[in-house]
Amino acid sequence: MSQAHSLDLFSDQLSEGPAVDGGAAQMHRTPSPPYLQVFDLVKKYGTFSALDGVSLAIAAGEFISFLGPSGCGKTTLLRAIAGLDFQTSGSLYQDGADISWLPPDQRDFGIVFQSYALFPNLTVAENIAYGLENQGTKKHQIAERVAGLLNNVGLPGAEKRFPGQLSGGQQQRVALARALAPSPNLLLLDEPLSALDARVRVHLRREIKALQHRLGITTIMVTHDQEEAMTMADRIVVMNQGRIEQIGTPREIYENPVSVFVAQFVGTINLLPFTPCGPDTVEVAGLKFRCPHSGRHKGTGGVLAIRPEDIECTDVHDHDANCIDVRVESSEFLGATMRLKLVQGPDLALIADVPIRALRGSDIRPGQAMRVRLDAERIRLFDEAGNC
Amino acid sequence: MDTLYKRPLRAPFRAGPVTSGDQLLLRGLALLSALLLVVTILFPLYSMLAKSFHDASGLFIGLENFQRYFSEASLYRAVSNSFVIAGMATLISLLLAFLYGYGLTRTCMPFKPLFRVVSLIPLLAPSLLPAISLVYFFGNQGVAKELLMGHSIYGPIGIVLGLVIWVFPSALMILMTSLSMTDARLYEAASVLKAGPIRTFFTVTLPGVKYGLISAAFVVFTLTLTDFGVAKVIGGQYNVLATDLFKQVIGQQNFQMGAVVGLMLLLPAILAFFVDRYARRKQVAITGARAVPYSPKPHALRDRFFLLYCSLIGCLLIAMLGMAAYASFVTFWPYDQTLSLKNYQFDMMDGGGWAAFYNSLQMALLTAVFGTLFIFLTAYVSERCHGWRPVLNLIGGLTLLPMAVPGMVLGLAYIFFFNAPDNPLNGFYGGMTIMVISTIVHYYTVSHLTAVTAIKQMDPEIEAVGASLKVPQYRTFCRVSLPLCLPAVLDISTYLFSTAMTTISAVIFLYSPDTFLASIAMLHMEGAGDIAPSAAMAMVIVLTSTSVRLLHWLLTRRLSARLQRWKGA
Ligand SMILES: Nc1ncnc2c1ncn2[C@@H]1O[C@H](COP(=O)(O)OP(=O)(O)OP(=O)(O)O)[C@@H](O)[C@H]1O
Ligand SMILES: [Mg+2]
Repeated sequence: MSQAHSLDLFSDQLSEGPAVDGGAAQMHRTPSPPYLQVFDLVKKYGTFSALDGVSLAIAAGEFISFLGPSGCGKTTLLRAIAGLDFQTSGSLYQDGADISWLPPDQRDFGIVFQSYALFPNLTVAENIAYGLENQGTKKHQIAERVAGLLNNVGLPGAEKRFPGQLSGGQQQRVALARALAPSPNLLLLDEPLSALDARVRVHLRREIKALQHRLGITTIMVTHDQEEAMTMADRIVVMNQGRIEQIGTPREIYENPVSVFVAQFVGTINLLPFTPCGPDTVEVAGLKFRCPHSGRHKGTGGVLAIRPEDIECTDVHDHDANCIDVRVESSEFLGATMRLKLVQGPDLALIADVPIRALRGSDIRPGQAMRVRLDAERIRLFDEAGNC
Repeated sequence: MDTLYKRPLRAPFRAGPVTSGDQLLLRGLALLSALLLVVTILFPLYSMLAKSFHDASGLFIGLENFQRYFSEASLYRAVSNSFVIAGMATLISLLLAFLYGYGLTRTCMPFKPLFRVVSLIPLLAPSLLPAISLVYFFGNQGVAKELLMGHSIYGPIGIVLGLVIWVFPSALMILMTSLSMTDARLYEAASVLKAGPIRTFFTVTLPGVKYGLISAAFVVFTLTLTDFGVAKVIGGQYNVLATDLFKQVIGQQNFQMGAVVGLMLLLPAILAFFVDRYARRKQVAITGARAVPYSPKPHALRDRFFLLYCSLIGCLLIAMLGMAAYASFVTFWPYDQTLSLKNYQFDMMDGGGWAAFYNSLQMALLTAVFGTLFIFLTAYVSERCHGWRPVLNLIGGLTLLPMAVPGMVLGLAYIFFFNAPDNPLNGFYGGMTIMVISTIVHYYTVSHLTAVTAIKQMDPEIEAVGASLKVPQYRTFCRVSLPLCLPAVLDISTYLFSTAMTTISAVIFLYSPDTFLASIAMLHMEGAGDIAPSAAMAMVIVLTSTSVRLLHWLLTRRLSARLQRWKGA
């Protein structure tokens, strides 16, 4: 349900204006070079490669999210971009300039760490003013800027308090204000919301996104929470074991994952081993399914993938249309949808998300028989290595 | 998309990392620290090692010095004497301290804070003080001489007793740490499994503090093996390594043989050091970070027993101090028992007079100020400098080494190194500077570890945030890191000050007539038969150490109030 919800949000924003209209599309349109470019970045710890040849380009004003499981190298990549840890090889360009080997104090960025790293012995105002004081800004200007920033992050009047006296969410906002104070052109966020409880997190997500939108600041956010990435980012960089698996808008990533890894990591998906048989047809557990995109997998087996929401209840009795008879093994009520675990014989188990509306009037019980259809257009096939 | 992956042409080419100004500064400081540590630790120890293989004229003679040492019974008897004394003192002090620590951590007896403070008494004065008190209790004119049933306090009995009192707080601190680290859940498990108290003690309590016991045993063993003060005052004709070393070097000016004896002291100390390090690591490993602290439940019989026991030990410690205090006011023991300040007129006696005390004060202040500055900065640099591994590893090794070097050995090594005519640093010899340096080095490791612990507790990203905000690191250090570490800085400076006030072992070889210290004055007056003035000087030292610790306590209290404010109500 949350998945559907977040996609709704995304489409809301789509209709708002062109700025969030997918970074990639925007870059094709604009001739200006990308704001940040990463070329073939490698980071080795001994023989272990934390980053194994990472390349990407980010347009000015984009909100990018690095998404991936723990230990995949997200933080390493972010710290290399910040210059906090140097890469083993590869180069970085920001605003056309080579910053590959510059120390952090010579780069242009603001950063919010997972721990916030607020200075506990300085007040909120002193924390935020920290980066302004050595720029020679006048006292009253600093005070104004601090007040403005606090307003912007939704904490007006918190100047005199110490970080320890604030809640986690408030500390997060202070850290954000401190990073934004010197008006950097690049904002780096390392799991900014992971230390907060679920409610605050959802709230702050929207706020950070709105703030980023308002300021138009190029932003990179590291997260291992796919929902966070989906709801906030213009484009998501999915990483796995030091490599980039896929770069794309949340919708592209969700609808057209390029690998089993991405498909599994973003959202829920059914994965069924298949063997090819005939044109546009594959066989799964003795059943034949039609899928118009099977051409590339002639002669080899692989994995058939279909999202739970692409399996629908039907009355039609048409085997050519991927209709199969199944039994309900268990059901889970999720609000707008019902998640059904369906089985067909001993070898085939499926998860289907059926809209509650489609089930009105019928009672779902374990053991009950029903007929479902796998949407042929939405079936994706991956080879044995898990790639397209 | 592919068009994006072209390199922008106007970008200049760079081959490798550009070191930031911050890192350059850190590296400069790291190099400086490493250099100073090499000169003040490594070179002197090397000089001593070299000395032991040469004869008086500087000719290399291999192991001849060692052969001579072991062929003279009077010399090597000191080795066995020392080991027997140290072994006895270690066993007794460990037993006493374990019970005391058990009472403080594992029972619900009342007055725990008081007992804790009382246990620190022996740290307030040089090791001579327990020995002097013992003389007043059990010496030829002692008040409780009969208790020894004809045995003389001057000799092994006196040395062991004096050492036990002196090392008691050191043993207690290590044991209490491991006693309070044991996981409460183990006790819950034991009681669920219906294990009786005896069985629980042997299956849970003892294994839990095993490494603490090992660690304490080796630390205490080294302390007792290498202590000079107690044996000097109360040892009589009984030869131990420390007094022997003093005789060889100061009495007979036989530096080569001194170096050999020094090595006899250094080798067991180094061995003990490694065992201690190993045990500490194990202790941390078995407790782990998620241990639930044990909080004892009331148990009338047990609590009463430990109250009695701790009171007894506490009374003995207070009596030790009280006897010396009383004796220091007695006009002429045992004939004229009227109280007066006659013994405090140090200027009338041998040993440097009040000037010695002012020297001590000056040395303690300089040690505290420069020691804290250097030690904390070095610890910070070694934690925050990136790259330059070899230099940082060198610093890491050299900051641990002093713990393994007994004070007397350090002092001796300093003579050999700084007094060498061809050493350009020769000018320091006999001055205040060298005494300050030796004291800082002598107590380096504990201070360093305190600093490192405090620095490690800070968020490692604080400096990264500073850099991202383009604030130079020295500013972030002054405005954030240092204030956050202030409690540790205070701890270190207090520790350095009070140890500098009471130390004898290293400085005994380094003072000159102009730089007499209070502790050395004590030794001189005692040696000249002025025991009461010596006790009086001890009281002055105790008063100073107590004041400083009180000041530290007050400051820490104010600081923690501020820390509380930072943390919020
Ligand atoms: N200093 C280091 N020495 C050795 N290996 C390291 C070091 N720092 C990181 N690594 C390894 O590099 C890999 C990537 O680490 P990184 O911190 O970038 O992961 P991450 O994607 O941020 O994970 P998480 O979600 O847990 O924060 C991990 O396997 C980690 O063990
Ligand atoms: Mg991370």
